Amino acid sequence: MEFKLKLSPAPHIKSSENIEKIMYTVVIALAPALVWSVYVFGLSALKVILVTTASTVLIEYLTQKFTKQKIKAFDGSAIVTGLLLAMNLPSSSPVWLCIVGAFFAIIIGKMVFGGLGNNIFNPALVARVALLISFPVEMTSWTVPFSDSVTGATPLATLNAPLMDLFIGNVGGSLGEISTLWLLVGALLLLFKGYIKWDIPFAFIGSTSLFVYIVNLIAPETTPSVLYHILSGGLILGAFFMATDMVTSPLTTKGRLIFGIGCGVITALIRIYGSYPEGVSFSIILMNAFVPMIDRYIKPRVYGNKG
Amino acid sequence: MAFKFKRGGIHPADNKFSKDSEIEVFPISDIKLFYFPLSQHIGKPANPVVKLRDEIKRGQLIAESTGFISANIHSSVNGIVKKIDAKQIVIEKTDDNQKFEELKFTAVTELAEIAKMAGIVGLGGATFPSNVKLSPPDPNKVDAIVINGAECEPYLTSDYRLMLENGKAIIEGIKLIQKSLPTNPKAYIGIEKNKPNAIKLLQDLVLKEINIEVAPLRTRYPQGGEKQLIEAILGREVPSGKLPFDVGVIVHNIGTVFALYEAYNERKPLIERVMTVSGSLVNKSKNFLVPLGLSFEEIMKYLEIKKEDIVKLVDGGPMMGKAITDLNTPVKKGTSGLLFLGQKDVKTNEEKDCISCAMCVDVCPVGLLPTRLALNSKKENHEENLLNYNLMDCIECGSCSYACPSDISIVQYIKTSKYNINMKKNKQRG
Repeated sequence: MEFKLKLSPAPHIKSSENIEKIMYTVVIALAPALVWSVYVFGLSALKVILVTTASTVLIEYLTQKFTKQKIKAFDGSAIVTGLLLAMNLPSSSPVWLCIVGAFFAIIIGKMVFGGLGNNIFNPALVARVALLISFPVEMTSWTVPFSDSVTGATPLATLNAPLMDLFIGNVGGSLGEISTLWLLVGALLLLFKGYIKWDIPFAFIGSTSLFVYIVNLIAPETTPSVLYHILSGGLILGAFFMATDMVTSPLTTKGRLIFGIGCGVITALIRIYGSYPEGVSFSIILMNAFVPMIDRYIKPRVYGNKG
Repeated sequence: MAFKFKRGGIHPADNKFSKDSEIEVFPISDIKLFYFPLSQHIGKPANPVVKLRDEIKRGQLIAESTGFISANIHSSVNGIVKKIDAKQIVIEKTDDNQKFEELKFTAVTELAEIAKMAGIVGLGGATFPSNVKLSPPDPNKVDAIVINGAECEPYLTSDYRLMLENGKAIIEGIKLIQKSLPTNPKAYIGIEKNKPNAIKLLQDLVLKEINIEVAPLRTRYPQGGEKQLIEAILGREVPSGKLPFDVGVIVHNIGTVFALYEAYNERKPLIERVMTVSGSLVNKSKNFLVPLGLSFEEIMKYLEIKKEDIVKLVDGGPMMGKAITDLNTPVKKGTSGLLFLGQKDVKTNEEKDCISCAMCVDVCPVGLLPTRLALNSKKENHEENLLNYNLMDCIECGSCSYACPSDISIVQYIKTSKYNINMKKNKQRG
């Protein structure tokens, strides 16, 4: 047998980071909030989570199989998209809604662009927005916590939920947006691992807060308090888990700050002056569109060069 | 208290298994053939000055420097010229007498001239001819010298052992360099903090020296890069496309300093060097004093490593070293280490798509966007890299490739871009 030495370019050592590790860590970070949603909304929440996630993985797998591409459906990214999409759905979502959502997320949001890394928009949000516009009734049928009854009211609509309930998650809403507490626990894990950074959440939440504060200063009672805004409507979910998606956010800190501010201002604008009570999903998708331009013009200062 | 470069960098496992291994003279009594490539340095290859079947003495000049940037090459053994071709001179050893032919210079010969005679080049791996560095265009501009004792690559400990075992000689070598410049510039010896013994030893040795200081460095790759050293210790930035000299600094590797000292003090040409031999296939990692020209295969045989076990053989450190496919490759002036890597050290996964995680951006010490450079290079958009992404500022440290979770060989794509641009430039020059 011929003796061969391996020839490959330097470096010959590698860090232990890989795509699977990142994706599955995100799954772990989402787990506390997901478990809480099942606790609050019961088995229907579990059904939504399982159907959505199984659908995203299956749709990606089938797409890659039928187009004769390398099967990457199990690298964890489809699971993350499925979980994030589930977190944007009401617990009363019928099975068909979850599957249609998964289709939007994977096919329209990801595969047509060329798969992971090539998409411009956050796939879970593409699906959520498409579903919201196509099936507004199903997408706004919120289950009352710890009961079986369905209403149309979420905290941003009623504007009267107690702050502590908002923080812990004893309120109505989509699966992932109700509990600030459990979302923050998961976010801490991702911050610790360095998979998300402080810049986007800080800029996003900060600018929404500032905008709300100034509006209330100029015209009191126009909109609920800053704290109420922060704790409701998926702002925490959006700022920590959706806007921070690696593929669709800028490469540099400065770029991410600009991105976060854009998201925050648009969110506040829609919430206060738009017809929808919720602005997070729209703001992130709009800002996603600007990311290639942000990355083209916002670059770090290079050693040995002027800024 | 430690100096550090401003941003980026990585911290792979040190793996300094050979750090407590005293420098050992590699036994060559059973070895017959020694190979001397005509190009072991940056610049034009040397020209042979010997013929087939000539009798050669250890230390004798066998190829001479051609042009401004080039270097002399000397034999490390007594022997007979067995083969000469366009690439190298092969000498068959006739005896093991260690006495070498001494360099001929006088008390007024400049240090740069001695370095040129001795064929000394940067021994940190860059192999830039030292005589050129020692004769800067405007010597009055140099106000600081940085001595590179960082040794930031994993596994490598040759510079560390040199500091521990030849500290005094190194200090004397530094003084020689300082005296060779009219400004008698201050010297800073940069040593990473993972080498506390070396820091302590050299600090004690320079206690009485007002013009030499030890600068402890944060342990992080690529702290040993000259731009990073200058940024960390002196807070200066080398302008893009320029040299350290342009900010009044000259950087020398610690091994080079030792070679200069030996050339001056013992009239010894560059014929041997210290190198680290390590890797998971090496039972006891060691630091050897090896004669130049020794074949890697001989080192493998001496350590009783089975060649079938070797998955990868690396000349240098794991971050910037070169994978070798011919076991009969010799030790050259720039060979600071030899790594025998087995199955568990080497993982190559297939390249996946970039997910814009920006880990490469985070670790780049220069502030580039490595992901974009690689993407443009893949699309053969090399001009774009040059014009808009500061292609030429890349120091090729490889931190980006190391960090990439998609297993993209980023630095290799960048090198390809650079190569393309340079080829085009050369073609235009005609």
